[in-house]
Amino acid sequence: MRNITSTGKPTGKPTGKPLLEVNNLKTEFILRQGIVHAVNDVSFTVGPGEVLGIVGESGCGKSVTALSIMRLLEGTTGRIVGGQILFNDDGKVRDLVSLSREEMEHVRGYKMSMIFQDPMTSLNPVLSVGYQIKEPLKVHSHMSEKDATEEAVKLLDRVGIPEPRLRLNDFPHRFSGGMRQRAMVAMAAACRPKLLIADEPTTALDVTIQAQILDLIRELREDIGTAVIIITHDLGVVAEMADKVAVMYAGYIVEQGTVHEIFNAPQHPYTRALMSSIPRLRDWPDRLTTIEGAPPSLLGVSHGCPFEPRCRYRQPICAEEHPGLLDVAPNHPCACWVAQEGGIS
Amino acid sequence: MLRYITLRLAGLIGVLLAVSALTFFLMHAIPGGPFDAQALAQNKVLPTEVITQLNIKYGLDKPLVEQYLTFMLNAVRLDFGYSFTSQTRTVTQIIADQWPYSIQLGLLTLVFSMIIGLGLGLGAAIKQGTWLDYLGTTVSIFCMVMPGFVFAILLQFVFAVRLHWLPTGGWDKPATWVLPVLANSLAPILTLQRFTKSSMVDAMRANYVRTARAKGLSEQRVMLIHVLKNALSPVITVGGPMAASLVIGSFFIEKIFQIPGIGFYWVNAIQTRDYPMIMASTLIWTALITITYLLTDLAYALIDPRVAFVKES
Repeated sequence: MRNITSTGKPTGKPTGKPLLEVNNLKTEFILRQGIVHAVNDVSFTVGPGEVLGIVGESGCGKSVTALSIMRLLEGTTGRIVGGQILFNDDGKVRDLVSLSREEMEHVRGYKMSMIFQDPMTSLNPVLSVGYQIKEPLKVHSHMSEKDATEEAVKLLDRVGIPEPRLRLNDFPHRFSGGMRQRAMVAMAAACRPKLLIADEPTTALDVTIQAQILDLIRELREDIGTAVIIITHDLGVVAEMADKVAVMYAGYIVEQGTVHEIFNAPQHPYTRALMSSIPRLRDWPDRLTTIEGAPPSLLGVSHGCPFEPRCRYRQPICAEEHPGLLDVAPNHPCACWVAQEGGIS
Repeated sequence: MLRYITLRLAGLIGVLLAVSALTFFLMHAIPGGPFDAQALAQNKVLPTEVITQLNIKYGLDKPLVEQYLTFMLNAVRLDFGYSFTSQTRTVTQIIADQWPYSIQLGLLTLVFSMIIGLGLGLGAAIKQGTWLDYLGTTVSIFCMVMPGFVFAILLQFVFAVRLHWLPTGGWDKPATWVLPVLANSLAPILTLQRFTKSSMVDAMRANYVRTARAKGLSEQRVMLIHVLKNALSPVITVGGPMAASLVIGSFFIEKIFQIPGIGFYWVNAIQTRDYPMIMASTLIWTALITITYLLTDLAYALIDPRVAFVKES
């Protein structure tokens, strides 16, 4: 086992009640071909100021989980069909699934906000950057135009945009990709949310800019104590940012644990396969390691473990019954019959 | 910006020259002249001497190039000469007398169809799959399949002849405006409804709309500020030239409702080979369309900051 130590991560504060508690979340998309089970019985918690990394390959339900929490699937073919999303708003716990659209509008962008994958298209091209940053300040914090402008200048300065007062009046097309993502971070942080969801915030950016954006998110977390859910398929990003990791596969969380546990003692065959596909500098392979096969279709109902067809350790039971999440170590749940039976050597 | 407008207006002069020359020589290339065409209409044959005299009176005996230059020099001062069909009124007078009716009809039609077309388009996009969406589709299909002149006669029959609610024609009291504007609005409503709906639906799928929702903005704010502003450009693209074609006048609507507009004169000018009138109408049309396109382009810049007219240094 190799050791990956996370760097520059502040030690998590003592957590009492979780800030966000997702219980058995189920989200489906209704298509002409049938029902796509995008998110199945997903449960996790995020404590105040904590950073949760959700990893998995494309189409595994990471982003849909995030959009479900933000209730941004309304108006699409997707809908939440079960489960709870409990959000602790200063001691008042509310189930976001049951909030009305208007009530949800007072949570989104105020108590929790989101940064998206593609900064090039996530800002409105016909509104100035300043206008877009000031919007949540005026809508949620009821700031006057003047106060909002001052606050927006501070925010842009905070995210490292030079000459923020001037750049406020610029339109997004005058910003580079990295600057746009900085502006997105400023916008998301404007109302000092308790939770920030970053959905692949660095995927569309250059490697050097990626590091800067991650640093920025980390600094914000320290500054305003916001909890972060970072969604990525980049294990390096998780190792660097997260306290806890949830690994998703085919709409299920297959393993959860601290970043240390997941990287140093992965239990689920999928997580293990993911870890062994990371190329190592010291021992650079001739061919990169891959996971044979392809993820299953999420259309229709499946029995058994979704990873079974690709799994090296599969047993007869794996094709018949889905393993639930069970602790294989303290606070380290894993959805694998073999791992639950006593592990994989 | 000012430089851009100046350049575009200078371009207008070139376009006017090209269009006028083309029209002038084409219309003279058609066999037959104004006087035998008019005479034929009245089943008369004018004696050759009379035609020669008329040609001399109107300067049609001179070489074509000279005729063209004389016409253009006068046209610069908005003097298009006498209409061949009127002994008393110059072309400029006819236009000044009749065009205002057409402009009024056109502008009223524009406003009415903007309200209905934009409204139905917006409604259909925001409330997809509801009665509002179906109403929009129904109205636009009706506008598509119903020819304007048939609709005009139907309106006259129902509201004027049968119900006596509104006058059959004329153009004075506001009551006389209702039916012509309705009949004239079919095509504009169709165009505006469909373009507004489709460009709204396109804009609603954009990532920045999701960002706007993620900020917790109300649906109203998302639609009216984030979506609509992006959806307007395509609507303006069709709206500009549409406005120009509305104010130029409509032959059918004006004829059916007995409106003394200019539409009749434009069409009649071609049948009677009324050279000055043909030239005037062509020049006015050209100028109107060119200026509308300029205004349309300027409107883009107002709406979309990515549009720049000046090369950035």
